[in-house]
Amino acid sequence: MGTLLEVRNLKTYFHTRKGIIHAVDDVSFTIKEGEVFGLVGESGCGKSMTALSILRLVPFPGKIVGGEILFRGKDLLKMDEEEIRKIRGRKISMIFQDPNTSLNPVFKVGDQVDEIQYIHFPQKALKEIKENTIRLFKKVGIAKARIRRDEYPHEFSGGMKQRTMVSMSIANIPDLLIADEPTTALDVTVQARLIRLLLKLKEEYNLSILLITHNLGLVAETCDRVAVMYSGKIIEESDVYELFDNPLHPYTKGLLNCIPRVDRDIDYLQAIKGYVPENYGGWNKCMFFDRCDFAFDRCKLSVPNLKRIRKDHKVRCFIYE
Amino acid sequence: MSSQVVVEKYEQIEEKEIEQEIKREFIKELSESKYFLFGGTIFFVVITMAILAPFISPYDPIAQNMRETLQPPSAKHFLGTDPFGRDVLSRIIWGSRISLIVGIFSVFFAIVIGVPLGVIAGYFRGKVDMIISRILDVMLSFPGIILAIVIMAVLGQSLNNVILAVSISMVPRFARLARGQTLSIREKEFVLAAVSLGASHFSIIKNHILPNILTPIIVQSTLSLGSAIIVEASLSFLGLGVQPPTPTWGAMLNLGRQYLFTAPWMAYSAGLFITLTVLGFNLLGDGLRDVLDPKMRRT
Repeated sequence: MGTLLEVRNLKTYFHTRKGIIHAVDDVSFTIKEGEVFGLVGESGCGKSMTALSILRLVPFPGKIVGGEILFRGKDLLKMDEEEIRKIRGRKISMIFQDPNTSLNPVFKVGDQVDEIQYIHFPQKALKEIKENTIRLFKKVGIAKARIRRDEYPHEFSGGMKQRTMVSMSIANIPDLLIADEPTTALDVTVQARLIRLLLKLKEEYNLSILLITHNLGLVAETCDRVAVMYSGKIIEESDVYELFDNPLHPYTKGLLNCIPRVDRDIDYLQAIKGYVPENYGGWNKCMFFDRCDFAFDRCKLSVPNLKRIRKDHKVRCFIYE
Repeated sequence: MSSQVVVEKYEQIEEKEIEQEIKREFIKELSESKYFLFGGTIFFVVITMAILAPFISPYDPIAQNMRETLQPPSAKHFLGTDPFGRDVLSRIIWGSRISLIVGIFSVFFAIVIGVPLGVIAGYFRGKVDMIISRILDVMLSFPGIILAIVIMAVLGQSLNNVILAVSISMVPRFARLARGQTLSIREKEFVLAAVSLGASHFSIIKNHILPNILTPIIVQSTLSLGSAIIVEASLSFLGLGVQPPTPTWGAMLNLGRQYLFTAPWMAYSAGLFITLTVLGFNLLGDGLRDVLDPKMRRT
């Protein structure tokens, strides 16, 4: 499997009045062709900003200040606006968290899917595009596609809207699909079906998927490799089986502990105390220090490095240095 | 296979019925809105009056008749005559043409200039927004009528210049409205989704911003129609509008003012028509807003 996307030392900073927040702080990872790569972390750890940085959609006052994002060897950060626009939706597309707000309420859903194809292939006949939209709808499991393409978003349920978003994102057969918490706003039963759909499409089109989530169950089911983010940095990266069998970082262990188990009697739910600290001005100690049960003096004096422990398993913790 | 076809056909029929149902609902709501009905009636009457002016006006509006000056209302002259013996009713009917032409064209040009300005400012923000907004602030800091007077004084008096003056004085309100609406729409997730799927600025503005800000602009334009008519009448009243002998309501009002005690019918009829027309357009706008924008519906 060749490398599809390589993120090297990506830095996305937010310049606020209170200081500079290092939302994405020196993040590197690679996604291979046909691979599902999971990016896990709590709210505010920078996983969504990493995804938005890839498509250069970081909202103001955020700014990508350094690093490289190589897509098939080409640096997305060096492209001009027109070039990156041709990548978006054509080579790399994205699904957002809340399908209820991702569709334009004043247009028929089918027309919105048509539009995405027209943007990238204006020479295609409209009839062909419309037919393709119906094919796409059938593919993502929207029944009565021919009729429903003429409905408006408010006539669709949440799951249907997310399916529509999926059909938009795969309309131009991209190489990489970024799914930013695609199931968070959906019912549990619908979640499973959507994930199954994504995996089916992945096989069919040989897609790579960057799956952003805080749902570890979802990661276990779908991903090939996982990176855990904390306060802007990747703190552990590994093969998915390895991560679940043998988590190294105290934070990862804590996260896995938080999942209640059916087969054990529990009196209360496990939790990691505290919140993700905002990363002002970058790490000057291990940012997990305050919440860590294993912390020792060195943790508050310097920043641990992301160190390779085994083949394909890296961790950022002094316990392993 | 055949049952499949039957099902699809049945569904298509249902689909059409639903669409008709929605249309019926819309018309029902419109017809139940008193504002809309009252405003719409006045709007309709004034438009008909303007279009049919040559056929329904009893006399030539500019023909002077020195034997019948300052006649009070009678069967011969329904609304009396003015100091030059011209029939007031005929002048009112022909005057509606000027009011409507100025109103409609100036609102049209104000939209054509103002909405793109506002959308560009709201969409691109930053320096562009800064420059456009400051220019609008300057324009807004003058009362519309003063701005229009200045423009008329500089450009000279003609119908085209009246339209130009009124539309320039109304550009800021459309630009402001469009800017505010654009600011809120551009932060919506479907815009981000469209960008992430490769849509260009142009296609986002055309397909996502404009259709979503259309409703308030339609409402604003009917409301502005009323104030455009007032500005036009004020200009004519001050003698800066379309020049005599062309009949305009504002000029008639001014002429009537000089004979207010001896021949009040001139001022009253011109004033009444200005008031009714503006009121009608405002009510039409209110009614439209109630139906088109459920969020702002009166309770």
